[in-house]
Amino acid sequence: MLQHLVKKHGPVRLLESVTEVLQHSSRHFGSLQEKMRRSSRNFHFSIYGKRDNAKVSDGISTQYPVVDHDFDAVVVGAGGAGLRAAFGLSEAGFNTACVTKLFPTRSHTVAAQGGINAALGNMEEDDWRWHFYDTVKGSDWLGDQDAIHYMTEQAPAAVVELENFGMPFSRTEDGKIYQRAFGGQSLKFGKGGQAHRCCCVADRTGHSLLHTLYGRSLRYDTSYFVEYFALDLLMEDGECRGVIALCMEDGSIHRFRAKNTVIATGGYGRTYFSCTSAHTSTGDGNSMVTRAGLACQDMEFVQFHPTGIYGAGCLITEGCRGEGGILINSEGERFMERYAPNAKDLASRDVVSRSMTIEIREGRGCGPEKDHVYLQLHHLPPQQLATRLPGISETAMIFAGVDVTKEPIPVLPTVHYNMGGIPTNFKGQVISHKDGVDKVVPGLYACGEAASASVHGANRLGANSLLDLVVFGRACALTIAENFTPGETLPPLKADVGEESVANLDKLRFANGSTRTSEIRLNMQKTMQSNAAVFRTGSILKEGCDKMDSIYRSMDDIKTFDRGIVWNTDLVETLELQNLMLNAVQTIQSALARKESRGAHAREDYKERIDEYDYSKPIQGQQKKPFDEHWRKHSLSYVDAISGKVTLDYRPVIDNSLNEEKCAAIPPAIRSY
Amino acid sequence: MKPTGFLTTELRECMNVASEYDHTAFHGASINDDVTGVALLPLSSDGAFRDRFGSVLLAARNGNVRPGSSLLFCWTGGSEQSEAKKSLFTVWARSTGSSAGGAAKDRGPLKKAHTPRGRLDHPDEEEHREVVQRFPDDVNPETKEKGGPRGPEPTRYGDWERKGRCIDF
Repeated sequence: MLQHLVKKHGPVRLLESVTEVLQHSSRHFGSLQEKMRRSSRNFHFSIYGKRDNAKVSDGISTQYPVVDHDFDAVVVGAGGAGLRAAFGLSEAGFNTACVTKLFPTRSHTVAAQGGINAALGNMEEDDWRWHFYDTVKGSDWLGDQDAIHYMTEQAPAAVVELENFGMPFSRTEDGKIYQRAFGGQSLKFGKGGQAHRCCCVADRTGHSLLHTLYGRSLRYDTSYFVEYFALDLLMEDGECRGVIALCMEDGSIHRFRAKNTVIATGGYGRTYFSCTSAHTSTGDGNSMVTRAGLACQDMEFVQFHPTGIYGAGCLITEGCRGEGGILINSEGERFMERYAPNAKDLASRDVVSRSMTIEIREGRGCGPEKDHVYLQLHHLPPQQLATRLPGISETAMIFAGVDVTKEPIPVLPTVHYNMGGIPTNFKGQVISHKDGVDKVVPGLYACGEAASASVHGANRLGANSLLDLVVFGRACALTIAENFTPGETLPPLKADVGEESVANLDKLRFANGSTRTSEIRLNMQKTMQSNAAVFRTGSILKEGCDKMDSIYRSMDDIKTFDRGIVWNTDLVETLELQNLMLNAVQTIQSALARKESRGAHAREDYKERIDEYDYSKPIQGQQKKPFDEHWRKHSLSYVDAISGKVTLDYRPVIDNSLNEEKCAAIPPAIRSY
Repeated sequence: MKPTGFLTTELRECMNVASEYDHTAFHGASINDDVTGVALLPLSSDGAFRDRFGSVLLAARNGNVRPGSSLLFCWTGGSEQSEAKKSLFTVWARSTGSSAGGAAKDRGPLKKAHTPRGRLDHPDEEEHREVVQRFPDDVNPETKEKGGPRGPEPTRYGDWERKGRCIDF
């Protein structure tokens, strides 16, 4: 262990840090293990019944109590996808652990109040192939068609299964699940008009989904390790053999050895200043995979919404502008007239977002930092507002602190979903791309927003996200059940695996630089918001990349204040900041490299989509562009965690469906609605 | 035990003050010892404050102390029995608002304690205040959807709207 640390930190620095550690420890804690023996309070988990295989070890650290657990499968994250995977595995008889930093019903899935798409055919005749077509088109042909085929074919069965678990969907008069029309869904491959596919539970589908899945999971004997922060994957010989986690409650380190690890940690909205995600959406899974030397896919595709409330992050509906609300800058000018003379404020979302960003960049933003614009509604009659948009005055007062009938609401473009993540195949297995071939990483799976399967491609359609969670959560569980049996002997693991994570933890716990965690995080968020947001050009992205590099280096100078080990939120926030930084640098570097506009990634200097053929004209007679000259490919990004340097690679999109007779693949075309 | 001259002066002062105000009068003493005992002594009919053994501790010299008053007795250094060690630390005379009747009737009406208002208090008021009303029987009259979202159709503007917020999912 010492040799390893010496290599990493250099001998003198190691001596300093070791002395510091010993001084600190002896001064503050005596010997931790001694203290633990003396104290009457037990460890957070209890070694009884099933968990009698847990044993304290000192293989990696004598300063921190380390406990080793053996399981058949470990699921990291307990949102929609994580819970579905966890109890799917328990149902199949596997001894499963679910390691989560939040209580399961507090995961961010609870905020997804809309609905789930499924081609059940309750309102009109429907076919899952039409849903398949809509999703492929929505992803701007960057989605892997086999994964989309799998998801849309399984959708009706998944929704019926949820309903059988007890999820109270809204019903029609006949008692069938009520489906409503929602964004981008059509009939007959786009030619049959709007499709009604979105099933919901009153106003709280995500909440209900999470509670249903949690309640269902309690039927099985999954071991929940709640408020355990997963630090890293335990990799050996290119295989994933488990997870190492910090118990936040008592500061002990736990190594979960398992043959199968499923990552379902969610997205990384918190890299941006304005986002709708919870403070806990910090891309932990993506960064664990990055530190293990694997790639993340399509990180530059981040979905924005034009009008999110400044500071709070809640989105204001487009109906405000539809009812007559206008966007104004600091000069009081209705700036949309300049950018979209005909549609004005009713222009499409990306036009509005880009216009707002340009106004802010050119110095006409509002507020003390001139970093947002105003949405004005007080010129409309209050009665009209109250009848057409009930509840908006309440929302504006609670989240923005303004009276809608007198003052404008501060808004700016806000992140709400990350299409990028850990690359997987349609079965949920994580893949790595070497020498032009996709290879499965043994023992590692991913599902949910953390994964990029990739069903959403360059742009996610509404109501597909919740579907993605349940289908791929179940897919991971099925794949594991298919290939392994419960109770298999675990592959051998070196005694000192995971020590870098503990060394890192220790380094952060005693960090004594000059910048606080919150300052570095704010710098990163502001840089990403101004340079890697909706409005992207080469020069702005380059400026952003350089700023991010210096912010990444400033992480060496970080200062934490809490030296304790019990519920050290300063330490956990700093670990989360490390994770956010890895996600942020990948996002901005991939965006700089992708010289085209596709889906959610729109560049001013390259406004067109660059595919292997020009699909606006007939393909006959066209020369197919070689792989490195077109952009219909997934970006894979690797980061060197110490220097922050990003390396990019590309992998082709999978254009064939799982079964050509059942469902023909959709050849690329120009995406227009 | 007969009150010492010190006590009597203090008590008289206190009662003077008490008579001017209807409510509590507080008079701090100069002794800085810790309080070891406390007793609440009602004024008996002959205008004296008696301890629990019936001995007169203090006589109300000032006729302005109304019947029904009680005295909060705090003492230091010693139990109630050892009178020699008793010394008055602080006197807090509480007098009632009204003039006639016994102790209970003279008190003003009990004010209801200010407890935080719960969600289930006054349920009717809550329903009226709600911005988006529930449908009768939870069935949407136009679309006949049972158990659906309240208020106007959330997808009417192309996104999912609730109370002015756009929900992304």
